[in-house]
Amino acid sequence: MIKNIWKEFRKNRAFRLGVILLLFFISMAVLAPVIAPYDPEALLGMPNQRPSAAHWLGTNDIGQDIFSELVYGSRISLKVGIVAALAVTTLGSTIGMVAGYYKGVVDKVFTVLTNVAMTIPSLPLTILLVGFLKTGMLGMVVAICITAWAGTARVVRAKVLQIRELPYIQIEKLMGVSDFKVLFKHIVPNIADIVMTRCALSVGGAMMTETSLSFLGLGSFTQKSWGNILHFAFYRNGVINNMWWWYLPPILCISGCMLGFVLVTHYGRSRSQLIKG
Amino acid sequence: MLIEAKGLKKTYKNNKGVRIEALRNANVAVRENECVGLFGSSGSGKSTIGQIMVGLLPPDEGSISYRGKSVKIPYGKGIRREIQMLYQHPEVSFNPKLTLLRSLIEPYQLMGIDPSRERILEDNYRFGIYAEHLERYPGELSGGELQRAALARILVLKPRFIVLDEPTSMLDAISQAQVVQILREIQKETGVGYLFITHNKALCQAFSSRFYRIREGITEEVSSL
Repeated sequence: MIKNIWKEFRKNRAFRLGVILLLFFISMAVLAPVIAPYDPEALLGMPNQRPSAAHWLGTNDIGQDIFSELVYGSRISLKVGIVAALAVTTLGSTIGMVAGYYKGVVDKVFTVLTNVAMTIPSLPLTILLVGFLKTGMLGMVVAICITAWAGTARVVRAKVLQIRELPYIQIEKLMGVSDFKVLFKHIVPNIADIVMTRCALSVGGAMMTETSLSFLGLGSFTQKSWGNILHFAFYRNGVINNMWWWYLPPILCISGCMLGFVLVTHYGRSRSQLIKG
Repeated sequence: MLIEAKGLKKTYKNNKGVRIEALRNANVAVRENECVGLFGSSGSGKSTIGQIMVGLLPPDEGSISYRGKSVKIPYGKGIRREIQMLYQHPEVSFNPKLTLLRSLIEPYQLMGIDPSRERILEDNYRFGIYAEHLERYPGELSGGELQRAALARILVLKPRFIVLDEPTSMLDAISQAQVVQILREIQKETGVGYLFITHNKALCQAFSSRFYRIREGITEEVSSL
């Protein structure tokens, strides 16, 4: 697989740009203490300052350095995005694999569940769930997981339905190999590209949901995230006063990161047509 | 009689939900140490009979008896490994993500036989599978090599009955001859029974001792094709 990814990196420009963008944002999150010039929570004096040499993106309404907030904010946004995407992909892939492999009643039940889940608008349901669950990262991840698994489940089910009919799977059944071994030794490696692609798409989707929730004030107020910066920029008159250095950078970061994850899915797109959910 | 299928009926639903009759009245019997040919055109129901007899598909009606006892699909552990199938497409008979060695190991593990590389090489030598083939992926092997490896793999399970679903149709003439020769040798040594499914009349006559012809889901035993 690493060989395939490297091959794709060399020949696919979109994939290459996606990887570069993601590496940029991941480095920003990992090296936040090195990159950020100030503690993002520190009150540094004058509020609402314009960008300057001392504060590259100015300061917010209580005098915190916006650039430092932005750098540290990448940590929470990416963490929520990646953890939620892993949870969503694990849940969706498991449901899709079980439905596609066993077919029959199991498939019918999961297909009805998936169709119902897909018809419910996800953001209002996520807002409702976050309202009931504990605020903070865990509540957000659980809410995103409950609302976003259906697309992955549908794509994985379609692929497993196709693979299960291939002779090498039928031969395993004839030899009396256990279902568990057939699923994990023979089916999982053959859907790995699609699952990874769905996971990359889910990270983008989860980050967008986290931003939306934080913007609406449903995120964690104790931790800085890009959505959280936008929330304060909007509700503390940063937008009305046209303080673009406050609201524009988080929008650009979210867009860049989303674009990175979407472009990375070009890898899967070239290897399979089954990534639309 | 080794295995006998009586009065098999099978219908499928097509994309529009309409039921299509694949088998209307199929009767096939195979004795030990016998190769029975099942000849018919594409879509006549040949492969459906094969899949029912190996226990992959349950029939809508009809019965299967194995060594004199009536059996139900899915087959129980006792006979599951004794009834095997060799497929038409060798390139999809192996997991494309595993090396040949990792695929060949499985039946050894299932049978509790030493799955060492040396043992596998020794067993596969007569099938023309050597050390240089073992670390290759299916995409790096020829159709003939894969079909011989597929046969070697199912023989580890010591089957008594094998459905040969057009096993030579995707191979070149030399590979066809090699596979047929190996199949004959194995039958002589083990007394395994074959159901040879094909639409190649000449090959069916050369390889089989009895013949069934299938038309529109109905089988008929014939003395010659």
